[in-house]
Parts: sequence; C-alpha cells; structure tokens
Amino acid sequence: MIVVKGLNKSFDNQHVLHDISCTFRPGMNNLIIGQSGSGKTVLLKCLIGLHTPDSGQILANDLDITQLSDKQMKTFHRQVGVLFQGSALFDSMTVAENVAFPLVMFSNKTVREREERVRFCLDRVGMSQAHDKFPNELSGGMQKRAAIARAIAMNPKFLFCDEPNSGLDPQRSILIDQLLDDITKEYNITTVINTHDMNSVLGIGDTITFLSKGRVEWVGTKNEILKQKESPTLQDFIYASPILQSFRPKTV
Amino acid sequence: MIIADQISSFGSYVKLMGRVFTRPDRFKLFAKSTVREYNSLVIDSIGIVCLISLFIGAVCCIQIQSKMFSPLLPRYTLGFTTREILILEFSSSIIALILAGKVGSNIASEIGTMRITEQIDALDIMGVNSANYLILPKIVALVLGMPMLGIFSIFLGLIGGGLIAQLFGTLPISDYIYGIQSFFEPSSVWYSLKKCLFYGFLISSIASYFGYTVKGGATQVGKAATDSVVITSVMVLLWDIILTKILI
Repeated sequence: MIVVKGLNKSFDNQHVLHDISCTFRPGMNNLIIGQSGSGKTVLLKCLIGLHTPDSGQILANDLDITQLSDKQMKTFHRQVGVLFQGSALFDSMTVAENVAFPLVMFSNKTVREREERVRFCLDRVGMSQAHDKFPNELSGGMQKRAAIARAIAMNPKFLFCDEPNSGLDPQRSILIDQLLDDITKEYNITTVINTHDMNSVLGIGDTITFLSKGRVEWVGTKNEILKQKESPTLQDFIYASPILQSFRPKTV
Repeated sequence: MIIADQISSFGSYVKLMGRVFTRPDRFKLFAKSTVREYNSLVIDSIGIVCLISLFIGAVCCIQIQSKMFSPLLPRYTLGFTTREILILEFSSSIIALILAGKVGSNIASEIGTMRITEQIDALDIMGVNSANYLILPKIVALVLGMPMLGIFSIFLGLIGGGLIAQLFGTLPISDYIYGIQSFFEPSSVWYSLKKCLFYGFLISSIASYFGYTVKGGATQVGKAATDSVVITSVMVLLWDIILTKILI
C-alpha cells in the first residue's frame, strides 16, 4: 500500500502539487486522472522517487521514501516496476535481453533459471514469439507488452504506469488494460496508473484520484465516477468525449 | 551570467564523474560493455585514423621538403622532422580533434537519445547506477584505445611521408628511414601516449556529460552532439598547451 500525506512539489517558482493526500491499495488498479498539466506525471515521479517532494510523506508499505538515502532508494527501486509512456525498452537489446536485464543485474539466478523466468514473463504477456526481436521491430502495443514483461520480471510489489495506452488504438488499449488488471490482481501488486483515457477509467478504475491544478479534487471508483456531481471540473473532464456527452447529468 | 553557467556546468560534470567512477554493479556485464564499446569507438575508428594520418604524414613531408633550401641541411632531416612533428603533436592532438567529432558526437547522441526516450530513467528506477553503467565502459574503452590509435597514426603518418618522398623522388627511401631513426628518444613516444590517454578521457567524458544531461527532444539531442564536439575540441587544444608545458 502507498499512502501519500500532505505532498507539495514546486519547480522554480511554480507550485505544481498542493497538499496531496491519497491512498493506493494493493491488488487494485489505482488510477490518477486529470487534464494535461494537472500534476499527474509529477505525482507519479514523486511516487517512484524520481522527484524529491518539497514537503510531505510517501509511505510505501510504511517506508517513507522521501527520507531514503541513495542506497536505500536503490533497494526500494528493486521492488518497483515501471511502465513508461514510450515503453523505454533498451534498443540495443532483444526483447528477451530487456526482460532478463533486471534479473542479470540484481538476482542470483542461474542462466537456466533466468531463461525460465524470461520465458514465463513473455508468455504471461503473450509475447513469446518476440523473444529474439529488437524493440524497433515491434508495434507500439507489442512494445508496451514487452515493457510490462520487463516490469514484472523481478516480482515487484509496486507497479507504476505512465499513460500505458498512449499511442494505441482502442482495441490494443483494452488489451493492455486487461493485462495490467490481471497482473495486479494475480500478484496482489499495488498498481498506480497515470491516464486520461476514459475507457481505462471506466474499465479498470478500482480507485480513481482526480487531480486538478495540482490538487486532489475527487476520489472514488469507476462505479461512482459517472454519478458524482461534486466536481464540475471532473464532469467537464469526463464528458469532454462526444460519446459520453449524451450521458451527462442534466442537472449540472 | 555566462561565467556562472559555466561554473555550474563544470560542477554538474564533476558530480556526474563522481557517479561514473564507482564500482560497477556487475563486473562481468561491465567487462562485456567495455569490449563492445572498444569495438564501436576504437576499432571502428581505425580506418579514418589511418587515412587521415597517411595524408598528414604526406603533407608534412611535402611542406618540409619545400622549405629545405640550405645545402648544409643533411638529407635525412626530412625523415627526422616528419617523425618529430607526428610523434610530438599531430598523432595525438589532431587525432583527438578528429575523434572528438566522430566518437564524441556518437556518444552524445546515443546517450542523449536514451535520455529523451526514458531509457536512462528506466535504468535508474531498476536501481542501476545509470551513469556508471552507461559511461564508465565508454571512458575505459577510449582511454585504453586512444594510445593504440596514436601508435597507428604515428606509423601511418611516417609511411605517408615515405611514400611522398619516394613518389616525388626527392629523397631515397634509405635516407628517409635513416632520418626517422636519427636522434630518436623513446620518451617522446611516451609523451605522445600520455597525451592520448588524457584526450581519450576528455572526449568520452565530455561527450557523455552532454548526452546524459539532455533535456527535451530530438533537436536538443542534435544540439548536445554539436556542443560536445565544440567544447571537446576547445578542451583538447587547451589541454594540449597545458600538457605540453607539464610533460616536456
């Protein structure tokens, strides 16, 4: 579980995150949604430890990651899997080598055990046929799946995904969402997904945190989001899609 | 303001080098990366180094021969002077300037592209010291490889000079070879190799710094590659003076 308490972050004189408090639970898809520039990516990077917040706490299984030394942060990072917006596969390595990389660096597995783990992870994401391919030979969706395989190779406790559906068609997006949902539930991972894709929100949003101008404006679930009337900004965000516009409550 | 920026950049460079020169997480992987970098940065540069050295030697020989009017000068002076110029200056500094362009831009753009495509962030999040993993093998490969390229350059430069002397018929090859061997001091070769070692470090570390600190997109990667070539070239020339003063 990740608990965020009173998090603030600014760059130069620009205050990006204002007193953020929220909870991300294990075995659930915890979605952070919001318009572009609302602070989603900065919050995600704070959670991962790529940005140091100005104040506040981030408790990952009761460990405050804002207070960790470099060495402790390295140890924490070994419990973390990250799916980047552009996949971030190492382009000088094959898909199998990408998945094996964290195992080579940080596990004491034998070559055979590593190969087995790589095969298992690639099978799990339906990518066993791409074992020896290089990232530039794969489609966007396949790159995302290979990146998920790499992210789960070390059995992470936390999985962070930055816009996992960006650049994918709706069908591929649903497949990626389904895959993330399956992995989260199967391995009881605390998954935090940064997105502005309403299909993902309504499909896999076990908990949803809506950010607006760097503040938490609404917290709920996929079943509650369409019914909520407290936040006009969230309503504008949800019903911006022409398909959903007809469902907008008339009272607002 | 510009001076403050330069001091700040130098501070960032020193901090980055502090992260680079740490113990690799996996020595076997480091050794493998170093061999790969040696192949791509050094072995792949042998062709261009040989070609340019051949021409530099030839031009040196033509220039010296065209200025040798005095009948009091012994004929072997041509070989002797060509050798001295190549060993003391051209084979280290000129080759370093060429590699600053070829290898430096390659390193800066490779690491810069990894930065903008979040591959470096991915390494950091896995708990890998990305600076050490990516940059140290390049520095070790080039520091080890530059002296070898320097030796190649000296030999090819001397061969270029000999070919010109032979082709133009201005000097029998035996006199040229005698000139090459005259008053030879092995210490001058060591001097040249020490400069090569240092230039290898300068080229790889400065180019890596520019690539590693890229922010933005493809345009910034291109700019970083260009900046790295310019700054490395200036540093090579500046350190040429300093090293000459220290080592002579």
